[in-house]
Amino acid sequence: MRYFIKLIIIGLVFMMSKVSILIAETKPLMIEITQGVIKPMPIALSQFTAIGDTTPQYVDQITSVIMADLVGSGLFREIPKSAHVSANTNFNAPVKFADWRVINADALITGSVNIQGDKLILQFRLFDVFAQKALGEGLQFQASIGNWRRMAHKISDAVYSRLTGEAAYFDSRVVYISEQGPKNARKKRLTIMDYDGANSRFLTDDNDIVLAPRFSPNNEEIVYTSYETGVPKVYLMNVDTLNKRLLDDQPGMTFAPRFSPDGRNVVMSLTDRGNTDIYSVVLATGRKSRLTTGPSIDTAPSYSPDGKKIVFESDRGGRQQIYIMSSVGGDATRISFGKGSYGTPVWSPRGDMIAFTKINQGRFHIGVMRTDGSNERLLTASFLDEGPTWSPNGRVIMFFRESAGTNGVPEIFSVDVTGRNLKRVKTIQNGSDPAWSGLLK
Amino acid sequence: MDLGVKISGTAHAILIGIAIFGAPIFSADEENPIQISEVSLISLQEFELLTKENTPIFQTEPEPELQEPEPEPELQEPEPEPEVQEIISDSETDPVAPITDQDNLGELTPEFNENAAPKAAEIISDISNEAPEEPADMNSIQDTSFENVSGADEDKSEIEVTENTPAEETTTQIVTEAEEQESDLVPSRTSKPKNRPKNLKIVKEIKTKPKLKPKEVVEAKKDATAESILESLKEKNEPEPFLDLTPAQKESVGNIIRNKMRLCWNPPVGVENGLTNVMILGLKFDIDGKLVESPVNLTPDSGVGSLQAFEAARRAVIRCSPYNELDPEIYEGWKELNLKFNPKNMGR
Repeated sequence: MRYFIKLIIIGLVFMMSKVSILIAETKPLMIEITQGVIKPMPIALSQFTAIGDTTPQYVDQITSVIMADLVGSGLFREIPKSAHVSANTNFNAPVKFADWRVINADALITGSVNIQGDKLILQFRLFDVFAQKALGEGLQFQASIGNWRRMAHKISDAVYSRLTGEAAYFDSRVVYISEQGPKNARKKRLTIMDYDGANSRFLTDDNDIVLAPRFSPNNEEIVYTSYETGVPKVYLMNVDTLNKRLLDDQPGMTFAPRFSPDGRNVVMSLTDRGNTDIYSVVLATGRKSRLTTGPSIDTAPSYSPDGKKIVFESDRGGRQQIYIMSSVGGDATRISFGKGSYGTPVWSPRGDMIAFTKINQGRFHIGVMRTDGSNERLLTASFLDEGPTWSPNGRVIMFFRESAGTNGVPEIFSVDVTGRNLKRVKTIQNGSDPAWSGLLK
Repeated sequence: MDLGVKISGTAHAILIGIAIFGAPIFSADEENPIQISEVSLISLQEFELLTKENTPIFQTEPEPELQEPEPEPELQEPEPEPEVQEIISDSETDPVAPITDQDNLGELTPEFNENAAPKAAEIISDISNEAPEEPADMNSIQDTSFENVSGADEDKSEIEVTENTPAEETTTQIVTEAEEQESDLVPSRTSKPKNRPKNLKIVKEIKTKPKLKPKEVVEAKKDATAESILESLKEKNEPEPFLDLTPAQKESVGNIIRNKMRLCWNPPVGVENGLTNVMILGLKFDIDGKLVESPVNLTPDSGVGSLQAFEAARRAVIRCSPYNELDPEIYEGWKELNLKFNPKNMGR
């Protein structure tokens, strides 16, 4: 009997254990976090180690370019050197993470500058301070000294890509129109510069009006409109040799050119006997194809990144709006339906968005929308904002803003695709019509 | 020998030659002016050896333990000198450029050839190497007043040094220039975290054992046979289940964590998928609220930007530690937590 009772008790204990298991949680508590802060990531750039013939001045200039790139993106904030607790005196020395954590640096860049004759060797590493880990392998760049600024941009590109997960845009160039003089007699010149305004160089003199330059996909050529012959005509120019040629010598005005993504064609507007339509020109043969027909003004064409479609502006509906058609022409679909007029559409390099100029109630805006016209967002507002161009990674939009009044002048600005980080781009003269290159090789 | 055989033999010999030595023949002529190679990382021990014996050792650094002081390096036998990576020399033959002033640096573009084009362009040498001015602050750019833009450019703001002060750019939502005018720059709510919630009561009751305690069970514990069965059951239930917190306790723990994350979490909302990447991190704590290991990524999917989203969440968790506000009496309920970081409402 006693044995029987014992068995019952054991059975009860067993059942109780199961009950307790059912009552207790089997997974950790899940907590949803939906609120944080939005602010630039604080990063520290440790003084780069100088090796060989390197002078401190050289180190300072290189690190200044790197930090200007990163901070200028609006995504990062520099922790000034005056706040640094320690410095890396040797590039290979392990990082004292506690020294960088105490100043609240999320990421740390270390590096070295080594000059050997006319060769410059740059090394860098990137660290996650709080995780106490290197973010990927370090990189070494080697080139002639003259390329120091590009090498610094390449370091910025590598850091940016690793910290954001996106392609970068710092090692790139911009071609634009330099403008000088009063509005009624303005001198215009084609000008090329680094994306940050450095290394500016005129490509044409100021004898003829030039407009709307656009880079080829390999960044070696540009197409632009010039009044050299008295009427607007599209020209093709090599940016290194400055050799140029007229793209189409047939009667009529040609303007608003843009390369196809494969660089084989140029799409542009042609006005003949008062009617403006969009044409495609094969660069190798000069063969011209008409893509739009009708009495309306069709202009400002821009290819999709896959080259299959073209977005353009047209007043065929009675007002200037944005349309999309096949790259071989045919029916077009209107995608802009908001209040006001839309123009100068440009397809994003990512392919997901279209930047445009919007005019509504006397004000100009730069905006973006999806390729089906949805999710329209206005990024800027002013007396005159116009001519958006995308950064190589599709994250930043450059455009020009002209101030009001007889003394108003155009200047180039950039804004993040989210609408943040609006800033003026430094140029040698007043500037308009910027066109961003792809990332340089 | 037949002529056809000769031709065939010659052709085959050429083909074999191409197959063996084809690389130089068909390699791309294009030369990148900038050579890029990877740089390895070395550990503390290796660096000690490097500095003591001047022997370069390149190995990947093992992951350091979180928040632990670095141990004294143990001396190791130096490893054999690795093969030094030979970097192909740049083909440029320019003489050494003196680095005496800014003007000598950075001529990326080729020299301008006046004969190359009918209408010569000129090189703007006086500004070619100038770094651009620091951009004007967004807030200082007036859309209708150009003068203000210029003025703002000259008046560069100092970069703040005090790290405890939130950055000026700190915000909880993205407002574009176009929207600013509509909203008149008046925030709809403060980003300052609220005070500790009132419902954050510490519940003393700790349910470490089941409520049902029949007398038989207590008596059975005295029995050696029953005890052995209990022991065996306990072993079978590894890992131990978590304490079932009451709703109030769960809310308390959740509020503590959320309040801390509100200050520490800085998600990369400005980048691709920054607002859509939802990350789940697994955390383990000791009873003092310190992390006992680096947060683990439990997110099932990974896509563009997910690595950066995870790293941002991980930084937030580490930055906010220790979590000593958590009640040690209910430690079994929060010894492990899963945090789901969802930024989808932060961009609004």
